[in-house]
Amino acid sequence: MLTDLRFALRSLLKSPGFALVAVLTLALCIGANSAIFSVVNAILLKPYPWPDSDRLVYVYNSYPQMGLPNAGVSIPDYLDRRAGVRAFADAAMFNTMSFNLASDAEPERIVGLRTTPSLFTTLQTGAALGRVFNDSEAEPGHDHVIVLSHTLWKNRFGANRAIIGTTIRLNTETYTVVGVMPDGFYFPSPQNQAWVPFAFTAAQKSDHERGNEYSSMIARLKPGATPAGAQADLDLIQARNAERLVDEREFYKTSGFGGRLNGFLEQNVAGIRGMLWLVQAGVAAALLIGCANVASLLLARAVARERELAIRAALGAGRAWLMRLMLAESLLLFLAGGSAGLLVAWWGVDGLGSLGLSTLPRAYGVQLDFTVFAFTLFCALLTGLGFGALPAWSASRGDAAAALKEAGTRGSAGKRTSFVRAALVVGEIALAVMLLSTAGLLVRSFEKLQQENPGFSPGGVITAQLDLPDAKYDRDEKRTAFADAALSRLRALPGVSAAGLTDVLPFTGNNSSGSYSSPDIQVPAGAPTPHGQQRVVDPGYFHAMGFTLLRGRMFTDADAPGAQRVVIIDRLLADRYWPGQDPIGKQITRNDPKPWTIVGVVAPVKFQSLEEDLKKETLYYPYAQAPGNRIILTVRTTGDPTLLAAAVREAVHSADPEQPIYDVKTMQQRMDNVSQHRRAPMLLISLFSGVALLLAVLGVYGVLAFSVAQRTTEFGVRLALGATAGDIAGLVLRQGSRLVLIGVLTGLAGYLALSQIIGRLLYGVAATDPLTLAIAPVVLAIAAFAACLIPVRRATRVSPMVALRAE
Amino acid sequence: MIQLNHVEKVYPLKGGVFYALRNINLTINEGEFVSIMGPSGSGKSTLLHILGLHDSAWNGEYTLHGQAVHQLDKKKRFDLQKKHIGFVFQSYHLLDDLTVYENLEIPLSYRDVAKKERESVVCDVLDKFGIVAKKDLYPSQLSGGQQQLVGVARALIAKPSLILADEPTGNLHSDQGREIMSLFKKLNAEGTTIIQVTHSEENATFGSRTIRLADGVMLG
Ligand SMILES: Nc1ncnc2c1ncn2[C@@H]1O[C@H](COP(=O)(O)OP(=O)(O)O)[C@@H](O)[C@H]1O
Ligand SMILES: [Mg+2]
Repeated sequence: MLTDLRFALRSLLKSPGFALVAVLTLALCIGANSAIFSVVNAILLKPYPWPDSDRLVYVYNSYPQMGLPNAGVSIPDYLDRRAGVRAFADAAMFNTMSFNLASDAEPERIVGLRTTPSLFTTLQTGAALGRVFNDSEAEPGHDHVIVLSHTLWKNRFGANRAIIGTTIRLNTETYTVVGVMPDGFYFPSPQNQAWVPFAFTAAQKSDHERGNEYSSMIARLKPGATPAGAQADLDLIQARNAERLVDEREFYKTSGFGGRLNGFLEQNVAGIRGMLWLVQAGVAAALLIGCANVASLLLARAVARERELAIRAALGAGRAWLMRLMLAESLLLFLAGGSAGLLVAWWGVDGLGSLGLSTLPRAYGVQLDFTVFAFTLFCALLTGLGFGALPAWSASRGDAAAALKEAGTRGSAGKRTSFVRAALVVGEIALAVMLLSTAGLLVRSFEKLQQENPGFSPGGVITAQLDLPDAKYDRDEKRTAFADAALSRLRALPGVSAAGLTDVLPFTGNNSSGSYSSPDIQVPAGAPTPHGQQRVVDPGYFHAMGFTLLRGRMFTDADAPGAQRVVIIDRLLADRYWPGQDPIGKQITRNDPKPWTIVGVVAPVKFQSLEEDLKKETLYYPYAQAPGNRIILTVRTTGDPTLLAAAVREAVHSADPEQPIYDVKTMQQRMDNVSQHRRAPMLLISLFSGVALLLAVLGVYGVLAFSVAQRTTEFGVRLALGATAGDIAGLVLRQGSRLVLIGVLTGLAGYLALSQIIGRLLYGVAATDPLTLAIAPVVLAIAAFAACLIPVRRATRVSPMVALRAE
Repeated sequence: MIQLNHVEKVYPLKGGVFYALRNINLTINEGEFVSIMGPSGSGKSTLLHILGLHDSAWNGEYTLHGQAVHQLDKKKRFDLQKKHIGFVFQSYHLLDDLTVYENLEIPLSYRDVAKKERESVVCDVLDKFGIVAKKDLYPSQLSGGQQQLVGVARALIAKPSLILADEPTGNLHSDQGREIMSLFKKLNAEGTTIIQVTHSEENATFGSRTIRLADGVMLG
């Protein structure tokens, strides 16, 4: 084999042009595949950095009848399930916390997790330095201990091993460092830098706490246990609770309440799995097209070498020997292509990041690692053997005697391989049509999405998040004082037309919802209690975000703590319970008996994404009457909002120099990030379909050019017999258009076969949209026609004298 | 029928020019059977290309059927050729993918002959050449002599007044060659003018006149 490879290398180096074109094509195609695979691998395939991560499940509450399929869990829910689900080996509950790390310079915000100590046993991972929490630290009063991530320990504390047992200040409180986690460990994502215990009070463990669902729960299934088994126990627990909690029984029934579980990985990536596989399939198609082109080049080369091969055969080389020689050559090409492809991939992974793939879940793990390397090698070997075998087999089949006699002028190999080459080109065109059609529909789909009205106007709005520490901001007056100070500074800035705040901003992935009631709402028997999204906003928020007021009024500064409690609802709520009536003046209650009077109705807005169906009602409460510590500032400017970032920091700093802000982004950036799972695949598929188009057209050109060269004598004879240049051009064009037609039809058929799958990834446009599907064939036909022109020109320039020239 | 006056053909070469034909003066009358002979490279094929109106880059005067070829544009020359000239090739040049029948049909299809009429003409010729049984065979299934027979039939199918043949028997055994020559003689007797290039003195005897070329010059 080594000798074969040496031979092959020598023969390739003899035609460097051919080798260069082939290696470049393969490098691009294989490299693009590796780059995309690095994303697919990191997001969909790679296990999490803890043992048995495939057995980790996410446990959540569900209220299907209330339009709330996916809610968090409460402390009693967690306790019930950890003890009662026999399929769980262990379970943990947690919620995210924002720590303001005191510092000499700029205050820094650190994302941390407040978690039950069982997190570490659930994940089966201990500390690298010191220890993780023990159960006694989950008692109120003993919970000021902290475990650091390896990264935080390294970056903020200089990897100081003596840090264990010392104290650090977070949110103006003191925590003792008990441990540092191993390098590479993270939960739930590498963004999370620290863990503190989640201590439950006795009251929190009681049934009164049910419904306070601000935490997340995970569990590890026992080996051999099934999700279905766990689900059965969750249902059993719920049935027992319904038995026991008489007051809740009706609510449980009407809301369809229950615990559910989902694979942890599934929970995080289900939304983008389809798109990512589509992109991988698209780039694989581009690779196939590239390989077909290289195989076609190899075939042409084999034809050119027919005489050499015939002589080798005449000298006693068996068919196997000839095949080995040819195969060695193609393997060498494909391996060189694969190696160069790694370079392309290395560069491509960077490019993918700037295309926006880095905002996808788990995208932090995207890198060229051993798996990607192995995948690349596999791609190169597989395609090399597959596409290399074709020309090798074809060339080694030749009749040595005939080839020698004909002296290679009108080689029989040309004839024999022309069918294979035509088939390759038809396949290329078909794949290109499929890719182009998919790209077209993704583009249309994205356009449709961008035309959706979110209900507010994002242009000119910059936003920033901040979490006021509970210990420092422990009273309402302190919170409103901070908000007033920061907002009045922002409103005074030149160019700022409005500034406001909210606790839940659209397009951040956050939400808050709760049950409410009203003396003015008669809930029919058997229907669930009213449940809606709830937001706390200040008077400036609606103006800053450009909400539309439909009835009544917006909030004003007069809606102060002592004044009448007021609420603004959206049209969805009004339409649901008071269709045709004026809701102004009607009352809403929640948590406590003191009612909130409706003073305004605004148009509904989309919170999660532009794809969202506006179904769930939203209630807006005034910040002055219900202030919280979670604040998102929204500032509208007449100019470029990005220029305002520093001023926003400045305003917060002047209101509280210790208060960090984070996630400073324009509203448009947030919306772009949310549509990233559509935008990036659309761009990529468009890119690949462009490459596919180019390669397929090159394929058409190659086949026709080769065929014209082969048919020179024939054309000469035809000319001598009276054919015009037009007749000859027609012959070539007919050959070209036959290839294109068969390819396009095959491609459309292939696309239609897959259209069901593709349809699931589209928005607002049918997978079989005839207008979009017409584009690919037309584009391809035009491009292929252009590719025909050069061979046609060459064919019409054939002189009849070539036919008459004695051979 | 053919009148050449001071025809010369030059190929520009690196060192200067190369005269492939010099001062050719030649008259060929309707009904003649002319053989052109001469050593390899003497300009026989070059002359045939000029006569066949394939080549237009030459100097001098050429009159064919009263038409001054040297004054005609490309289109007119092509029409003239289509109307009057049939070609027979040394290596037959039958189209491999077409049957005997289809090969014979080609010249007619290039002359916009209707399908019906094509059929009857092809059948007549198949009959005349005694190759009806072979009409559905492909060239590769025929012997060299049979292939050249089809080649001649194809040259004749559009009823040209002049047949040009460049070494038509060059690839054939002598008895096969003789057969083709007899066929030429018969066609000539029926009124077709024939000009052939040949290396064989024996073949030349079938003709009515022999023209000898050497280094691009006609020898008497
Ligand atoms: N395209 C060309 N360029 C230069 N010289 C040519 C070309 N074609 C033919 N010749 C030369 O013209 C001369 C006559 O050629 P040709 O008519 O083919 O000879 P033959 O008598 O063997 O048929 C030869 O010497 C040949 O080398
Ligand atoms: Mg010659």
